[in-house]
Amino acid sequence: MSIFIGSTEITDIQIGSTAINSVYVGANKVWDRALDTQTVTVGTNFTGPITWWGYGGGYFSHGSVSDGTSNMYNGAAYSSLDSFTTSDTPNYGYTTLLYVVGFQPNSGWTTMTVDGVAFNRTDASYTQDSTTSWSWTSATTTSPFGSTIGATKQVVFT
Amino acid sequence: MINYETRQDGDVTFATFTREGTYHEVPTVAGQTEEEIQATIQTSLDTYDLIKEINGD
Repeated sequence: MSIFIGSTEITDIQIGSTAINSVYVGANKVWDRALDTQTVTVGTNFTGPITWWGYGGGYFSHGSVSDGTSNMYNGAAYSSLDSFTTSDTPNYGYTTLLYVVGFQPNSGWTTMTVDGVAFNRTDASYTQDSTTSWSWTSATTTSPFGSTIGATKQVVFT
Repeated sequence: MINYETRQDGDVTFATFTREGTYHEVPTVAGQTEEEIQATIQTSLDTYDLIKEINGD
């Protein structure tokens, strides 16, 4: 969740020299300090029946990411911040993917927010491999990265 | 049929298993039947396999 003063988003709160990590209104958490923020320049690719929107490295490369390394996982590279659908039927369902290079644990962050759409870590299927993956199968009816080549989208981890 | 164990992460229970040397965790929902859990696991594996195939792995 974001908080603003006017139109300026608050990304850092400190009391004296002490960094504040969360803000509550009553029992409701309204803000978490970001662990990592990435900027995805949206690309697309078509592989058989699959349409991709976002950033994907590797064989089906498209888009790009800056700075591309994870603060949660000691600077490991993001190899995908991506989404895909297996049908050209509108609103069929998009699967969202997070891939981080290396054998990474399923911990260290709570939520990945793509352009305001939240994906909870504990809602994802997780696979630990030489590149570790989190996938949210058919979690949205449209791509959270949109469908405009060259658009930039913020991906925030809290 | 995938044989799995479980791991608790906050309020969520993951079904955990290793297939062909690769470790997987799939979130389950309270009240799911065994058949529904197996279907969720299969959907997750289908997604993983599809992407691996496209990558040429």
